[in-house]
Amino acid sequence: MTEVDTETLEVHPITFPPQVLARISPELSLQRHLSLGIRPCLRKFEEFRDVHINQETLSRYNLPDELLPTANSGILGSNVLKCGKTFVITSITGGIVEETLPVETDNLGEEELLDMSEKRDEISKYASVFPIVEVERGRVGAPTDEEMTVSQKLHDCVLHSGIIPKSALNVKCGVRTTDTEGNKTVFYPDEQEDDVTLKQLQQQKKWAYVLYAKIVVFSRTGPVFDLCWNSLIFALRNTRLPRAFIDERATDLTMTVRTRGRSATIKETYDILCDPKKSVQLKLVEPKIGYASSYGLIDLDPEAQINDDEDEDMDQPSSILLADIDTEAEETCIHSTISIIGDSKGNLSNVTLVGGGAKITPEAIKRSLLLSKQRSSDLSTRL
Amino acid sequence: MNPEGIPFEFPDRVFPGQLICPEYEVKQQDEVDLVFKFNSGQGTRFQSFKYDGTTVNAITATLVGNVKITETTCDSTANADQKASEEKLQSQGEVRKRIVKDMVVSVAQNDISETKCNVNDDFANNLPKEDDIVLTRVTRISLQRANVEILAVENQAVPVDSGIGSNGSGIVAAGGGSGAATFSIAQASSDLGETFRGLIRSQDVRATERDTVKIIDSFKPGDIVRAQVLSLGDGTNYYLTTARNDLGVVFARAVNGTGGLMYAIDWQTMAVPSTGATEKRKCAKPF
Amino acid sequence: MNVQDRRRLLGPANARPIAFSAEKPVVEEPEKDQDKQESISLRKGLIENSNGSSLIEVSSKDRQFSLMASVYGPRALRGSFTSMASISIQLQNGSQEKYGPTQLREVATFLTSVFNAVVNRSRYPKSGIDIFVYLTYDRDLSQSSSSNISALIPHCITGITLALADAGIEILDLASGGYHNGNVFSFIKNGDEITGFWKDEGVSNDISDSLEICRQSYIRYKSLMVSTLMQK
Repeated sequence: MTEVDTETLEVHPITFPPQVLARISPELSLQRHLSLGIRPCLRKFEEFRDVHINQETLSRYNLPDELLPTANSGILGSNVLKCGKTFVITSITGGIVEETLPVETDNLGEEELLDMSEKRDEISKYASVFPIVEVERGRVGAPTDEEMTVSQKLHDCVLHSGIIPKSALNVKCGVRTTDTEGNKTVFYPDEQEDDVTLKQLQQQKKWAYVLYAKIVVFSRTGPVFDLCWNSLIFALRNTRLPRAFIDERATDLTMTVRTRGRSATIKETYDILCDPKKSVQLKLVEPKIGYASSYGLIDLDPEAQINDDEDEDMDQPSSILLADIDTEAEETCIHSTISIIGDSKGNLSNVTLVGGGAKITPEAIKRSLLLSKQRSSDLSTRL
Repeated sequence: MNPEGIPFEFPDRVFPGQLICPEYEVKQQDEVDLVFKFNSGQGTRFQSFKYDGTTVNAITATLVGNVKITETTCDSTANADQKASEEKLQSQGEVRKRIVKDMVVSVAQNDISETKCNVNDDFANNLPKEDDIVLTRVTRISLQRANVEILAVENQAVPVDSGIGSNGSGIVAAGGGSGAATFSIAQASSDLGETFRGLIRSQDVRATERDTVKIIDSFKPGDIVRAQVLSLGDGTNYYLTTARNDLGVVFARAVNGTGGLMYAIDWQTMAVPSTGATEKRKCAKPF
Repeated sequence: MNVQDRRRLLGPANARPIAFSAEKPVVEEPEKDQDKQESISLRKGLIENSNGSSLIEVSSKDRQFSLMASVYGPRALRGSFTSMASISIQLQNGSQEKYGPTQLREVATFLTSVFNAVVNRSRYPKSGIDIFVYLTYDRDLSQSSSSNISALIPHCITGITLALADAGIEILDLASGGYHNGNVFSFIKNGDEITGFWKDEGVSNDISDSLEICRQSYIRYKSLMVSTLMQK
């Protein structure tokens, strides 16, 4: 209602259907919803989307046993997470990398030295996964900024939260022997402690598994980091590592390789293969596992309120904390965000605060930490 | 579902490829032959079928939805044609009179027709075509023209996938950013090629004093403009006009988008209620 | 690939993918049971940020797979004026990287030619319709010959048709197809018109047999599609 020169002008409002208004002015649409105490997705302010998960359906270890020997699927763990209308498919695949350190050295001094330096660097004890996030949005070509930043953040957060100790990825290599009749058998040293003869076959090499994660997000309706993180954690929790072995003939094979006519280098190649049947569970540090949730803060615009009673505006809070940001309107209009990875006991492994819109108050942070605990305890019971 | 006594049943709900009706149908009524000529409208198409060795033209559905039949009032030329044909037939010794009724058969997608009863002709997924009213956002202005991107066709469903969020051209949001945060938004949304673009030439801004139009006093980047499609234009742009009272800026924020919402106080001024500041725009029907 | 990909986290360069020791496959007696009764479930409209989408899950005795099709557009095209929509179809591997890029592109080209004939393209000037098919999972339960990509084509066609109908894009008819001995036929109009023919293997003299078998499965898929589309 506008006043010009004491003369009152009645402004004829132009009305639009809600979905058109949401498109042409998401900000106004969001503010109108919030003033009614509801969000555009019809959730309450601190309400999370429900999460459904589906474990292991894609994993090779979900196959019936008789098919395992011939299955060529390399998926070691998987998760399908459905959150609201968005769903995330995570599949964990693996690789094997040769480490430069020998498995057992007689040189105790060197080992001690290594230990000392490792203690200084806490992070080097832990490994991470290499995620590739793909958000399906009907486009082809190079990954978008979002896909790159989410991938990098997932990688860093897994590393720094210390979920996967490096020791969990060490390959305890077995040896395949061929007896005189041509029958091949695989021995794993750690399975048969008493067998002394196998000790001699122990290789002077060390291998480690490398874990890759392919995370595909379908039906993106809002920010995806927390969905990707939760899906990745669920997938890692059911990841199984295949037992690996090398052939006894290869235990100390060396080859001379000439690279580009320059100096001859010696490369030792081992044909390391994985057992199609036997596998061990990936050992995660359970107490360090946390789940992610996101929050946003938005200032209420006093002009956009729909209130018959003008006085009611006075005791309304000026900014609102919204949990689990979703929908286009919230994503484009909320500039102050809080992203938390933590467990149900309140142990945090990552907190990201981004200001830019509403002021992030200590109360808002406290509140979101509390909500994050509740969300984590809910998610951790899903397995 | 059988208006004006068409002598056969129309299917109620159809799926693509389903036959709806033949091109012509005759009904004998008292002294006259009622001839129904069916034309294909939205969501339908003529297809020829071989039936008993003859080729029959028939209307089939191309969408899932409910069949709607509307009678069109024939314009004068069509009437003249019909009269001519009637005369011709009479001269051949035809005694019976014949009335031709033109019907348009269309298919309306269910979810829209049921939820929005107040709007008449809304079909999902219609591209802007001539004479459509569209809602656009101004992306760039120059002395001669304003470039806009088309956000929605009025009275029609909003396509889902050309939004900001779903295609990641928004500002970085919680926990990692989205697509084009390295660009400014205006550039990103036009450079990603997501939306249909249009342009309003300065002579199409208003109907009177067309030579003295200043684009800068009519539109600012970020304004939401209600416009009408003049032509499909070239490969890139639709040509739009706001030369009508009900066309022009419908939403604008003061101070180039940083201030509050403005309301039109006359046909070329908008004001911010809280501060009283005014800015010039070509407003759509303020009163 | 000699250019290093800096946009993705690829992990250590010297890592080798896990290779499973190839055990000699269990020699199965080639049981040619013709009652390959596959059960299909169709769903539509599950991908929120596309205009239309569909999910197909097929499980038969020797194969289980599911694929998702999503339709984006009509979208604006740049460049010169086009009076008809141009259709592009992309096939994407799911979590198992099962098929090579050339194989996928070949199938995508075939599907594009099928749908050029099916979509009412003149209704969409100046625009492009982008269709994505995501092969979510694909699991062989036996080493039968039907484990190749050709057997997926009819389901791709069904999925895309369903997604197009869900998106409200005008199509002339519900297209689908069938697979038999390496031959794929795609039909419209109750099997009276063939919109595409794909041949990958097998001898050429059994085409007419295949045609009839493919037509039967087309009619089966079509009735499934109709019931999926017509339910509220």
